Amino acid sequence: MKELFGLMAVFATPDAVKRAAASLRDSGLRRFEAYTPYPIEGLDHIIHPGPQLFLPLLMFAAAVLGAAWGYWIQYWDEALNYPLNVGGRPYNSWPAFVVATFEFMLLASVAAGFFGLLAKSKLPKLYHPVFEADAFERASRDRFVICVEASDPAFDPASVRSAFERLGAETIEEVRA
Amino acid sequence: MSTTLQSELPAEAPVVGPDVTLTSLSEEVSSRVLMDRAPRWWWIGFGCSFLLFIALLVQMGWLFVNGIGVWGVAIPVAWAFAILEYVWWIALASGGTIVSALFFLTRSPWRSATNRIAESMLLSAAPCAGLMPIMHLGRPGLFYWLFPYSNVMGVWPQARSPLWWDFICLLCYILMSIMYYYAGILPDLATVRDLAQTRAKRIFYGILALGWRGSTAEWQNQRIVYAIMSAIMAPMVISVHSVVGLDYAGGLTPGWHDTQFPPYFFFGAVVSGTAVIMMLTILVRWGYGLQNVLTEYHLNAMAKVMLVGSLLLAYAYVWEAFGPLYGSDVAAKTEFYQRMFGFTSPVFWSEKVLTVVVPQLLWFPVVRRNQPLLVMISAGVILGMWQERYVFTISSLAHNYMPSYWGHFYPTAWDWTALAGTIGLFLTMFFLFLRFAPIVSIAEVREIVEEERAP
Amino acid sequence: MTQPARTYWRSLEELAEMPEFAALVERELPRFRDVVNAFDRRRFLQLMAASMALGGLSACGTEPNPRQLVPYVQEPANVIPGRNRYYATATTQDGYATGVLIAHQMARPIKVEGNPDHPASLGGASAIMQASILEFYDPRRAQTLVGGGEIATWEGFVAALHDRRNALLSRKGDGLRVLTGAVTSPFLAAQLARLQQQFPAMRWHQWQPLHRDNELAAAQSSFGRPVGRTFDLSAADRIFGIESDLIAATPGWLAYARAFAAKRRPAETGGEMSRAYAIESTPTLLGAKADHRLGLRPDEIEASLRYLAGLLGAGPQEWAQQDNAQAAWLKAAADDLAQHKGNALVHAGREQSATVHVLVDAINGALGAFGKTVRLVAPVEASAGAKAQSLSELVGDMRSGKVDTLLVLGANPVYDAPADLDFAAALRRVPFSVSLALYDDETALASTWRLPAAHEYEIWSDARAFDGTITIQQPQARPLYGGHSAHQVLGILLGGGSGDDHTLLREYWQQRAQQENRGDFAAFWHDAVRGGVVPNTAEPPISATPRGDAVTGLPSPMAPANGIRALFRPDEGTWDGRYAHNPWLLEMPRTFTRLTWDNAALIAPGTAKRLGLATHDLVEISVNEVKLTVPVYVLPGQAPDCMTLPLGWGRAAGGLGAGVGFDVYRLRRAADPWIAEIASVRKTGEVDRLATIQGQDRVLGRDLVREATLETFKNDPGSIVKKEKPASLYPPFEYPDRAWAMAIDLNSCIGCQACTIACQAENNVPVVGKDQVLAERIMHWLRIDRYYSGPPEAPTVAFEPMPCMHCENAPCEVVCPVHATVHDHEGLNVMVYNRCVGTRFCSNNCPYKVRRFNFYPYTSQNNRPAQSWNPQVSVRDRGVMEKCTYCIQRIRTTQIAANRDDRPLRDGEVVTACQQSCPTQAIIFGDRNDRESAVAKRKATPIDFVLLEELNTRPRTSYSALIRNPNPAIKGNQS
Repeated sequence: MKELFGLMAVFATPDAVKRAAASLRDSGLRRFEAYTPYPIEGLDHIIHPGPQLFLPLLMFAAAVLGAAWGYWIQYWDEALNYPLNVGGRPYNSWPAFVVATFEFMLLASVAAGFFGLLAKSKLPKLYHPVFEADAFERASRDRFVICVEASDPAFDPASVRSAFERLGAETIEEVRA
Repeated sequence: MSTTLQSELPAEAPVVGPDVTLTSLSEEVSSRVLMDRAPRWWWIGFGCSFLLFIALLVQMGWLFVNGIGVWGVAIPVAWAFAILEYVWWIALASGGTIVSALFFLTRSPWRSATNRIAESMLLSAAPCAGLMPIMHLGRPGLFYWLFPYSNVMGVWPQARSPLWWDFICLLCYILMSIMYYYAGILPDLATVRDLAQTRAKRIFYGILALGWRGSTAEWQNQRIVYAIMSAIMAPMVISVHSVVGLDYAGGLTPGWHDTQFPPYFFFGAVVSGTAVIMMLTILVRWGYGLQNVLTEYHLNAMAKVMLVGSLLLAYAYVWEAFGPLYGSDVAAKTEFYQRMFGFTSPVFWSEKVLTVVVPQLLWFPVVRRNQPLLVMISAGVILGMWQERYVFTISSLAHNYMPSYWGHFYPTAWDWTALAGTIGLFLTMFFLFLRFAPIVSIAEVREIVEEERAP
Repeated sequence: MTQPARTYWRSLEELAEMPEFAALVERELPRFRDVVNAFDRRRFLQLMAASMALGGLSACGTEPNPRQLVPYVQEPANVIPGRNRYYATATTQDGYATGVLIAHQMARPIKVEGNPDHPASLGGASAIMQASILEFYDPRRAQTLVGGGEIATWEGFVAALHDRRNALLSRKGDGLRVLTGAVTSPFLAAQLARLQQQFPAMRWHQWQPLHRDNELAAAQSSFGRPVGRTFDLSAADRIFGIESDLIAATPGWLAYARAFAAKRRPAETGGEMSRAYAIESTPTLLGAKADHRLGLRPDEIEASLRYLAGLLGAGPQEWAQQDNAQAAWLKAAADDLAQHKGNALVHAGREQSATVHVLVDAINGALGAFGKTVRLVAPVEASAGAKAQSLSELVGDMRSGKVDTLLVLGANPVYDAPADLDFAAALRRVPFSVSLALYDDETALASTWRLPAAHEYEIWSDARAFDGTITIQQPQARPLYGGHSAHQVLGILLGGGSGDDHTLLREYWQQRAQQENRGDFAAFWHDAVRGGVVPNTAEPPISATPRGDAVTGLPSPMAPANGIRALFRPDEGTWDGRYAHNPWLLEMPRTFTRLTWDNAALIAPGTAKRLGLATHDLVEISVNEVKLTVPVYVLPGQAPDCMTLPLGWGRAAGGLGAGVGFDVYRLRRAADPWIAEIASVRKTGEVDRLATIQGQDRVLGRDLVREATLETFKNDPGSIVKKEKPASLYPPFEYPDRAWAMAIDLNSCIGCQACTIACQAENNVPVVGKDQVLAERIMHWLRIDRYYSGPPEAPTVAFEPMPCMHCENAPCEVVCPVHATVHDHEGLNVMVYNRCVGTRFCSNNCPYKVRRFNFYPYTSQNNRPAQSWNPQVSVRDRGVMEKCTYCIQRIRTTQIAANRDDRPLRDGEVVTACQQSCPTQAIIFGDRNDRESAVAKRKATPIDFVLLEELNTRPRTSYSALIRNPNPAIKGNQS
């Protein structure tokens, strides 16, 4: 018998799952996660409270670095590495260098955002215990699922199950991995 | 969000059909991807497109073996179809980003269902755009000399050249578009994965979905990044097309050397991009029977965008005329007269009619609801935009500063093949997107569905 | 496997022959069809293609002096790779010599340059002279000796000729005839004289289609003897040209043009300037430069001259009474000429009637020109007889079977004899006919013996210039295709066996040097050969004045034509047809029409309108019962009711030029060789696309040509060129050591195209062929734009040479994404061919449109023998941009030489190819930083301007404004 990963409950509506998440949190549980077909307003603040500044800052930093690199590469090329008289323009024709600088800035920022997204969400992660649960099947479609993980110090199968029942879960399932 | 939504909703046309539920939505859209055999119309469409694509490959072979001389380009008209079609394609592509990014920022509800079509279109058009300038090089094999890398001689690209800006823009634009597209489609791939019946499809989409689970943490990150990305893509696409405009504005040729080009080009992108999306949306609607997801509401909204675009364009045309006529540059004046009455004049006038006059029909709701009409107007706009590029690219070069060296441009069969071929490449790619990726952003439409269900 | 490979490599011209392609073409681009049909591209693709022959040849090397073959094991002295070595010789045209220096690279002749010490060149070199180097290498030249239809050997021919000789000796040479072109070569003349002694009954005939019989006839009646006329334009303040080729084609024109231009640079000669008048039926260079020009029909020309003669007292008084439309104009001109007695000069072209020439002599006499502006000299030709008459006599005798042995040496009568003589038919009646020709031309093919002639650059000979100066021609290489010289052939006939021309020539000169006691022969010979000039051999002037009764004895005036008159005129490039195989000359844009690869019937705009014709239209004209279909070109400035038909095209046989253009000789009669009545002009409705390279004829409001009158120049020179340098955001680049620059004088440029071809020769500019010219892909680095102003019937013409401007703020450089075109430290706008990827943005951005692009691998398609290219200039590959470099290779070689001698570069040391060839010194090149340099001085003149200054490109190439010197007495029609 595989060991218990956590307890999963399926809810029918976004409001239900929100209520459930709130009360679980009140009951002192921390290691639980909701799986929903689309982002539910407010839900994230219940499960992961606090400001989420990492990604925005990352993208901003990348933008700054990208711009710096973008300008440097042009300045170095035209003014330092191989200065050539091109149409009588100054070696450091900064107005002409603005465009590429701008593009490099945006590229760096978006790239950082994309890979930051994957990294922070720990993706790609082709296997995860919740995939085992039948209840999870519809989490990407039309159902709202909460899974309380057994690793949570406050985790007690019985009490969590009763809480789920009280909160009107459609089905409750043990996730084993 | 809800308030804006309510206010925008016309009574008669809901964003999505009333009978659409989370369940039906997910299953309907995914099933189009998961179906075992593609419908006949898909095969026909794909087949024809692919034949055109083969024609492109033949054309490229002929071109690379015999040299650029097989095209009609000459001196003074050293740029012709390749460049004007590059501009044309990049405009269509940009249109896609405008719809998906700009209207994401404005939280326009109709964007949710159409943005995937827009982005698929973008990703299909961008390669066509990218191919053109490379084919048009005298020595195409050496295009990589434009990459910012140090060669043996320590020579780097020339960063003052609008062509190089352009190259960098296109490069960044394509990369960024791919990431933007992927960041958006991730949740839908997960849906498809979970609905997939056969093991092969599970594995295929499982890998593509990267193990997306839809946890609140993932949603949180995805929303933050996607929002910022959109905020970046919007100015990005404007810059891309402005820089394409700079290829001309930076050129010392009467009719090109004009500060209005960047906005002028952007307006063109808006109108032609929307036009393509309009046609493709209608195709998908009927082809995939997604009438309740892609409703008249969407068409209506896009028609309005197209109308605005054509009005902006009209404004640009006024300036196109005002600049040379008011200005003191004789060369610019003569060149503009030549546009209007020279050997490009028929194209010049038909372009104005197709892109500005005809779209005015969209003022009438009747027209906006009449899909055959919408298709025809859109097709007209797309053709008109091609003609617009044709006129100012060729006429300006042909009627340059040196009267002794005025010339003409006569396209050869290979010029036309290149055009047809890239259209083939575009459609081929779009049909593949249609077949293998959810063509409607399920996750986002879910929100709309919920919104509408909310009392 | 091979099949796909083949199609894979199939070339465009092969494709052009596939029917399905033709169909496609029909559909897609009707114009392209014309292009493909217009000119069989493959023919020119095989231009000079004989790599095999030349491969073999390069082995034995083209050693300048066949007497001393030096093995290359030890490098021969003075042969330094990369350094030019010059050999003097002369090119001849219609017998008249122009001295040239031929540049050799590693013992291979690569370029023709004018010989500064030669009176007919003074350093200048015409387009035709420049192109002769290509003719020299042309593998389409005759290469096989054919006798009686069989390939034969030289020895075989010698034997045959010997037998002939014996037969002839027995009957004192009765039936022996020699036909040559005009002969100035003293040596050849001597040989012919000796032949005459040996064969008293033999006769020597001369024929050349562009003969000057009328001038000769006029000389006879004016002076009672044949005289040649040479001119001193440095003394001529007033010049009156009657369709004059004085600065275009007449022997010595290079020198005349230089003197002419020298008197028309007011900015550099303290406001002094000559004044030129021109009356002509078809535009000439002098007409274009003239301050007043009238386009007149031939009959009007004659009438006008009588009037002029009357006014100037050169003819009977009643002539002065007559009143024609141009009376006022002519009166003013006459007064002007009269006021400059002694410094006036009247000149008529060779095509003018004998009457005109007699009148000209009379007028010149009345103006006291003789001995001042016009010098009379004994004829330079060995036997100055009327060519037309000489030929018709020959043909008559051939018909009546009096001729059994005919040697045709360097003439092509079957092609260019008057049609009514029907030389071909007569030739068939000659049992033993020998043709010595450079190509297997029409005459060669019709003769029983066909001998490949050696090129002028392959033989020892001598020739005289317009003023009599003799040049000893030395070979530049041993015969590439085993040709032989006229001297050798005559040598055999003289019983000298197969003597080689070097010995023969040396012997001749040895004797002559003794007679003229020129001292040590070896020294004399060495100097003469080295310098390209035999000292004091110029003809002394004869003092003579025209007989008064000459004009009175003139025939009655020419009647105006009831229809249209055809004017037969030489072609600028193919001349009388002998250069019709030369790709450079075929593709050389003609001065006025800017036509390439075709001749066209030139008619006036008015006449065209009346006949409902436009350029490119094909018309069928019928002249002297002969019908000919010709394309029409509407030429501003052409006289009404005149159709100019350029001779020298439509060759039936020979090389590249066969079948290009239409053959006008078919219409030509011996009686009136220059003019004929056109019985009918019928519009066929078809169109033949002519490959003309100029887009627009007018400046369309741009400030491209600044023009002013001498008066304005004297009173307020500043007003002619407004100099306001546009401001720039950027600080200008400094060019401390040198700043190369060019100054072109629009006054001096006569539009002769010499610079275009010189540039092509120097810089390995490929030929592209008619279809590519039509596709607007001609490659010339330097073109001469021709702009008209004023009414189309009587336009003012301006020529504007257009090399690269080498802008300091070069727009082309800024847009190149790969640093393929950049500035060097001396301000040259350089092209880095290897770095070019071919975006062609630079060409779009060049406001002057001087950049050229290799749309196809033209260089390799040209298939020129490897050793004919200039090794100092890299050839360009497909897909690469190219343009004028200010002859950077010349700059560098001179710099290196200067550095080696550890001295600074002297001004005028670096000479660009165009500058060097320019007969009128219109182009000056040098270091702008050196205030004392010629270029700086010219740029300092108040009339110096740059093109499109408002674009702030800061060009290094600048122009001197066009100054005209109109006669105040003539209202309105300034030319």
